[in-house]
Amino acid sequence: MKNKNLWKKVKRFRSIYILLIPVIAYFVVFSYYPLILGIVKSFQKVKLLGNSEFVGIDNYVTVFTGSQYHQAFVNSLIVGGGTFIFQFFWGLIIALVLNEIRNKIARSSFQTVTFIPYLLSWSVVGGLWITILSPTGMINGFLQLFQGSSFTPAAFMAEEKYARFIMIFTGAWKGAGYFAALFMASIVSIDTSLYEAARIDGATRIQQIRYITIPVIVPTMKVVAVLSVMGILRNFDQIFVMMNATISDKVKNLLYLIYEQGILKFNVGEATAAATLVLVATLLITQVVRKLLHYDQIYE
Amino acid sequence: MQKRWLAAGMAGVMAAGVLAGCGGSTSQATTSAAGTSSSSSTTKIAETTKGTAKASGSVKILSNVTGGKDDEEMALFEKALSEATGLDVTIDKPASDYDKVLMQKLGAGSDYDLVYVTASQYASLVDQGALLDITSYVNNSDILTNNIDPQEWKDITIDGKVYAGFNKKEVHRAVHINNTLLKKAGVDYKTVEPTFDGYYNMLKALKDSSDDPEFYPLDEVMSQAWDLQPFFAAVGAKEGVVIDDNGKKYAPYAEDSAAPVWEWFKKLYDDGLLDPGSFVDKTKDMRAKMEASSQKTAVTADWAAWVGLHNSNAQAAGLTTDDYEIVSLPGLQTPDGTYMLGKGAASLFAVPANAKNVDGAIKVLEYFATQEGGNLLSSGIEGYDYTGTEGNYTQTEIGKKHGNDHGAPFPIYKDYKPLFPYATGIEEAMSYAKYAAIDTIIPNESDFKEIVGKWGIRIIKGEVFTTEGLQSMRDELVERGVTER
Repeated sequence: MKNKNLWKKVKRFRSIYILLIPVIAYFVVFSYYPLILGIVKSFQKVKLLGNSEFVGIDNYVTVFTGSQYHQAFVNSLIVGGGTFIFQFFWGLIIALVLNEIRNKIARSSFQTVTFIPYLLSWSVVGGLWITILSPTGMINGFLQLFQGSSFTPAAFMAEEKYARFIMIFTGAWKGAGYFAALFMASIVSIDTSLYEAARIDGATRIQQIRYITIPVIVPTMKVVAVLSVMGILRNFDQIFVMMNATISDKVKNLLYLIYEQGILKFNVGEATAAATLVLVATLLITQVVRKLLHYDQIYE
Repeated sequence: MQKRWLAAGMAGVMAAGVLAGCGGSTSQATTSAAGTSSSSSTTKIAETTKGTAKASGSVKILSNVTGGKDDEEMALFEKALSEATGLDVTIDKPASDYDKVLMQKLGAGSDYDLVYVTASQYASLVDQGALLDITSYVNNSDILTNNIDPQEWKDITIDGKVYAGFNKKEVHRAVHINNTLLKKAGVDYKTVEPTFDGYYNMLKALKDSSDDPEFYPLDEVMSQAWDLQPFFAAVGAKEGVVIDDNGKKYAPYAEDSAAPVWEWFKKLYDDGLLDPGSFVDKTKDMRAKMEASSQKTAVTADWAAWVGLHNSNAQAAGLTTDDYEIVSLPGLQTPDGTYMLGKGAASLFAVPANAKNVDGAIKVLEYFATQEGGNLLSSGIEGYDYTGTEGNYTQTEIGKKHGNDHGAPFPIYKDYKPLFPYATGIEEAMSYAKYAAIDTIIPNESDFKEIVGKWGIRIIKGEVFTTEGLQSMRDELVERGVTER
């Protein structure tokens, strides 16, 4: 009886189901098929040409026992997590500041300036910061102004102690404008009568932000947070462009290691095993963040 | 609950991209594997056809550097190569990310007859059984055996087998010196003693004669330990990995006997003679500092060909040799009184295991090893890059821009005679070829560079004691499987 009802429903909404076919086909072909294929390969010793050998969980054992992977995982979490947190609050501050600027030209100029880095590729942004931080770059130039002739230029990009901070800072600098745009979209939708009422009640600007603006954009902040943590372990371009051997211990992350194993060394089995674990870790982190943020309450 | 599944599904879709980058096509790989053993140690062996006279049909090449510089010239290059070999040659030259494209194409079972590979990739692909053993073809080809130095074949022989032919003759690296600045410092480069002290004094003189606070006499690509061979020669240490008497791999740069060289670099750094940028510079940065328009450094170690490129670029900009001139030296002397220079690991055209036209592929390799093939690979296409008649050729403006490089500035043919004279300084730099040797081909070359560069920089900066740094370097090389002791 149940099946009959289901079939009836399918028949009734067949036009909608037909419309869904291309979408489903897209995800099957371009997302789930590669995903399943990748998982299958993670259990094989893959040859580029020839039959791959089934090796059980050997690739996973290699990944779990490899000190390089451990270090890369730690680096991914620190740099990825740090970038996310820094970028989140930086973006929020930009959005709040933008909301306070009354002059339209000044506001759009400021927003454009903060958003432009997001539009540039890491090749450009990475090259820019490498130059700024080089021994003959702008930062050393400023330091020389203060320290005079006794100054010895520093190669910041070759200093382990600065490496993670540089990656976090430059990552946040690039993406803060984007987060600000998302927060702004939410802020501009706030009913202005709320602010008027608050002003009549004697609320200061800080109080208006504290009790009106921020509470209203909390759902947006949650969405941004959940979407962003999905990318914590997936930062590749920045590390590819900005890493060098001197700082590799501190910043080489899982995706870069996967690239090295899979692309440079043709060790596809091990690379896909590591990639599968990145997927699992991403799912776990996302679920934890969802729980912590009570994400589901947004829709309740 | 549905929302959670939806979110989990979304995360899965996003992460699929990570896996998609590493996955190939199982079915295609399986199909293409016909005739290939499943064992990693065995490879498909090509049936020799006693020469390539019967070669015909089409040949498909995946190239990184060889061919035309743009679509127009690539079409002309394909046409010229096709006419010369009697084959229908097509060349795919990805605009970027060659390593990635190579892996994806091979993984997808694309039927190329020749693929461009570096020595490190060559070793990895042989290990995977992805290449065809063409030893018998090579042995049966008069051109391949007679026109190429036998040492070149030895260098790419793995377990007695050859899986590729040559793209070009690899040249060596030497010490490059800005002679104009050196003259200003009152030093004749021919009188520089090939010792630590001799080179130190030269660098000190260069530094003292410059008013530019951003000028550092020596620049290297330290993060990749490139190229330090002319200096490590002082202790007789060979670059890369060497096999000891017990058959174990080790890295001479990481041995305690190499400590004096690392300490010498530290002294240079402490005394402001080694550019701090060396720790992060890539080769392009190093070359930019060396070029006429910059001159932020005066001594580097680079490919012999770059002596000529620096000089010809300066001459093209209207400078004379009094304004700017790069000369070369073979570096520090070994304890035996000779020199040691690094030679480029071979860049090769390998025959994939699924190649359809092996005869055609061999014919192309043969053509590359002739005078005519060398002309095409270096000077380019007659009528486009150069015009005239034999013995009286003139380069076109396009040809001049292409700098006698269409994949092989120095063709593999051992008796090759260039159509146009080499740029100023090349002859001298090339005269040091007798001191050069290639490194052992290893699949994890990138690990070697990273580890040696990282610990070397820590020693130079004084972050670790030399012995401690070298011990850590050795430990990490062993841990990552680069060396065995």
